[in-house]
Amino acid sequence: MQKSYWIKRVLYAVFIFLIVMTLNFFIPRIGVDDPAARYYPPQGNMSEIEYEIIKQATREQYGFDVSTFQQYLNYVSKLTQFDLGTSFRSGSPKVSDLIKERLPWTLVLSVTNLIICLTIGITLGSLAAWKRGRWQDTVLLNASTISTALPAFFIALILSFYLGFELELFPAYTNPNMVSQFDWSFEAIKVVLANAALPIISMAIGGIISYAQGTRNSVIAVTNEDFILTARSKGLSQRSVLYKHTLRNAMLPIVTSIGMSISGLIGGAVIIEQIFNWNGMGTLFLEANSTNDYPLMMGIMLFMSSFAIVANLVTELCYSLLDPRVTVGDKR
Amino acid sequence: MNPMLKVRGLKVIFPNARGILKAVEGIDLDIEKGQCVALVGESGCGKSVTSLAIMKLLNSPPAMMQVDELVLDQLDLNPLSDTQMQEVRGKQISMIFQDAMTALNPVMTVGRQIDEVFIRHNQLSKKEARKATIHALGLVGVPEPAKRANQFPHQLSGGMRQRILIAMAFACMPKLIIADEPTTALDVTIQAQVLDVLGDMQRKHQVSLLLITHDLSVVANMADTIYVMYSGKIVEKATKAELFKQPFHPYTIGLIGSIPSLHDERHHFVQIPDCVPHPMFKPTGCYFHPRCGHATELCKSTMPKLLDFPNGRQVRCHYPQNQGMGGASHE
Amino acid sequence: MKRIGSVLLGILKGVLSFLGKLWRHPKGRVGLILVGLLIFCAVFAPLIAPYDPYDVTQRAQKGLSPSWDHLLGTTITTGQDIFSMLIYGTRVSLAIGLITGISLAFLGALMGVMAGYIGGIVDTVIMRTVDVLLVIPTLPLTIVLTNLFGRSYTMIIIIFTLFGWTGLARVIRSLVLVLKNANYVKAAELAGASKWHIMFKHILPGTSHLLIMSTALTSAGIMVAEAGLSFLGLGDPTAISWGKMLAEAQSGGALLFGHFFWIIAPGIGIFIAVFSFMRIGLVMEEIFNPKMKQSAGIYKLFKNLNNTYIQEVFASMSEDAILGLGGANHESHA
Repeated sequence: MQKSYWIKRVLYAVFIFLIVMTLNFFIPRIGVDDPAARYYPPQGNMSEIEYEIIKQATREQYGFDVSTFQQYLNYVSKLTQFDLGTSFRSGSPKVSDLIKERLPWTLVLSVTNLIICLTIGITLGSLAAWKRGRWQDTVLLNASTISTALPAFFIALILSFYLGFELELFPAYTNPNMVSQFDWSFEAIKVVLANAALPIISMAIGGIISYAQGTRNSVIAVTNEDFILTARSKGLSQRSVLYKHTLRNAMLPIVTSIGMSISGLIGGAVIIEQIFNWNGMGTLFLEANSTNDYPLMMGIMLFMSSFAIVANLVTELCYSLLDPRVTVGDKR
Repeated sequence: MNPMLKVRGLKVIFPNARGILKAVEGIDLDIEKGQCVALVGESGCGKSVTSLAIMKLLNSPPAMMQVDELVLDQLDLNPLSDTQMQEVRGKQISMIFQDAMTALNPVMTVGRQIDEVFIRHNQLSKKEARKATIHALGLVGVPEPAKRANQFPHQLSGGMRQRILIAMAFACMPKLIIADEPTTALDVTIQAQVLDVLGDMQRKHQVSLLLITHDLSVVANMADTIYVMYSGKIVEKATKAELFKQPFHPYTIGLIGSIPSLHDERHHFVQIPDCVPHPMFKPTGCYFHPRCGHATELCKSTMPKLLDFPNGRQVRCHYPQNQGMGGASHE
Repeated sequence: MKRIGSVLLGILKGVLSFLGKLWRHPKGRVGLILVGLLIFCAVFAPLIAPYDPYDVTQRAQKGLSPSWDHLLGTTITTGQDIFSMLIYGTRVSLAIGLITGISLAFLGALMGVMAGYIGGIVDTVIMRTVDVLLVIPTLPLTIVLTNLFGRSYTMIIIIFTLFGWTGLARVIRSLVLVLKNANYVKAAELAGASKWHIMFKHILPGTSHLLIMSTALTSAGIMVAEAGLSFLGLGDPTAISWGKMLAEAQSGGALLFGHFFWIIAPGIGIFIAVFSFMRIGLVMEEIFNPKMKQSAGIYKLFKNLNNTYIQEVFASMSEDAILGLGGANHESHA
């Protein structure tokens, strides 16, 4: 019975992907008859004929010269080969190549951030729950209130100045040669870490506090449940009660949060990347935006959406493995 | 006389921002070996708090507990720390909770939850513990115990879950089991089954049982001695026969009177007017006086003391009722 | 028409009663005062701000340090008075935050109630839409859409509303599923009331506390998002927004030249705005879920307990106390 549920779930994920893919195709084409006009908006010093010739060449190059429906089919068939299209930028690189180039850099930031937030956040949260009502708990509560009202990018600005520029602990702007000089050597790795420090710290401050507060609330909620009293009445040691009963239940909502964090792993650091001039997917997207590079923009969006779909699926799977009460499609 | 549990002067309060909530106001309990003692009272009278207090499971915020004597079969529980109590809980005293659905860990198989007790107190290995668990499940009448042990609480029916709790409580054959409203959350037919199992196990293995309930009919079949509790105080103590035949306290009379019976010739329900006083705002004098048909000025001003009668009967009332009726056991 | 009128009146009454409850709660009062202050600044900005940042003629010397003339100094790039910019910035933040928050609440509530109450195909369609919207990353999408359709705050409000209602809809839907089974709803159904009537008169009021709470919290989140967007330069280039101030400050070298207030002021502006709305939302949650918040107070209480008093209370409960002046414990009737 479980198997058929999962097959249905995967099919549903595919269905969502198809819708997203279609939206992705049509969005840049809204309000415009001729996509080539988007690429090459009319410029003053060109005659009508010259403009038409250029537009025609553009159409042919980018495949706009066929009917929209045919374009859609081409689009889909290319996707099956993982071809996300060709960028408008000079040299016409493939979108997928550009993504491949920049994705690892974004992951360096977001994955490290997630790991830090989880390890430190959950530990601090459990501590606050343990010392409920004492100063540790109160400090966390105040920190939570303040942190949620302070956007990460503001923290980033302040940190980039004070830790980066004033105290010179870490570089305030990413070293422009960091990517090109990267050769997996120890030195190169140190450079990356140094440059990644401030972006990660800016993101991690809010993330740690958020996970800590969530963990604390979850642990306290579980501690008030009857079955914890039962466990204590059986004479189990405090440690036993904590690990086998309290945490195992308290972690369930946290898993859901982790799932959401993973969905946002790629697209979540756009502003931070911009501030530090970090060479990742966020800056790639912003570059595409400033040059009206629609294939690149939409390619990245599709990539991010697909990633989110897969991440959600995996999270649901993990959650159902942890919580025996979740069986056949009862999340609705 | 082989006292298994001796409680003297148990008091529990819950201080809060608005004042002090007095949950249990100095009660005494005596339970003999192998005896079933019932603690009866409406919700809000402090009986559940009493059970947690005996096991020293009350958390210090929000509760504060004080007891003059708390002795389990010559073991003084009063000075024991929480770590020391962990040795006692589950092995010498255990508890059966009211709502089996919430009392069981939803993400752990019921088998493992019983295994835990064996592993903790009898130092059994996982395999041995599982064997013992299956045996225990069989004792409480769970069919296909090996299969059930691997199921989760939400997969079982209410009555089955209650049996799991009973098996868990009896696992190490403790000296005393406290059953807190073990049948309240169940259907009537299942109630009867569960009580049967409980009574059976108790008699067979000579385990002392403290049965906490608001339902006198549950008590009628099982208890040897009955304590009636009202608003934190014991108002009557009697054997089962004495209590039902000749209740002394007006509250007890009211409770017995409100049990509907198939053979009843009355045409309307007997009710006790009004409701239980809030544990923070108790009346002056006798706590029951606002609801008592026999209340006098004395009742309104002075808390009655606990009067002793022969045979260990006790009542807390200025004007105990039914005293001239039949029976040769007193005066 | 009349139906809409009565619905709105009901909402207004609900809002006023919540405001009353908030005021009584000490933390809520702080939030309410701050929000009131912000609204006041937004509405009366021209009166409060010493200079009009939009007026080019009122520009002063660039990069001035704080003085009595210019409380927070002037910007390095354009010589605008920072304090005035701070005041005017409330307009953008509050307007976008509140308008989006309220529209979101309406849309989310509508979708949630329909999905939960009508069920069936309506439910399926709405929830599938939610699933699709959830996987699309919002910030990149906003960037794309502003690129295609122009950068304006109206655009941003529309985009946030169209993509932000999903969370609320889900929560409302779960609540509606529960409310659906309430007796008064069943009674109305039996009496033959139309679906819409039930939805608006019976179900919707049941979700009102959730709606208001969510409006407060989402407005807070929107304000952060808007700040981020303005920071990236995606907002209206002519308007004064705190996010934009931050961007200009960074590129204008505020930190480099030690012009701290230029960066700190908008940051604090964002902080106060978000903080006050969140406070209101959280206090509302406390009001409606009173169970959660008891913990902290109790621990403090216990630390400061007067031990002698406690002992007195205990002593008053013993049999001896009942007997009065000591003596035998129980009076025997034998």
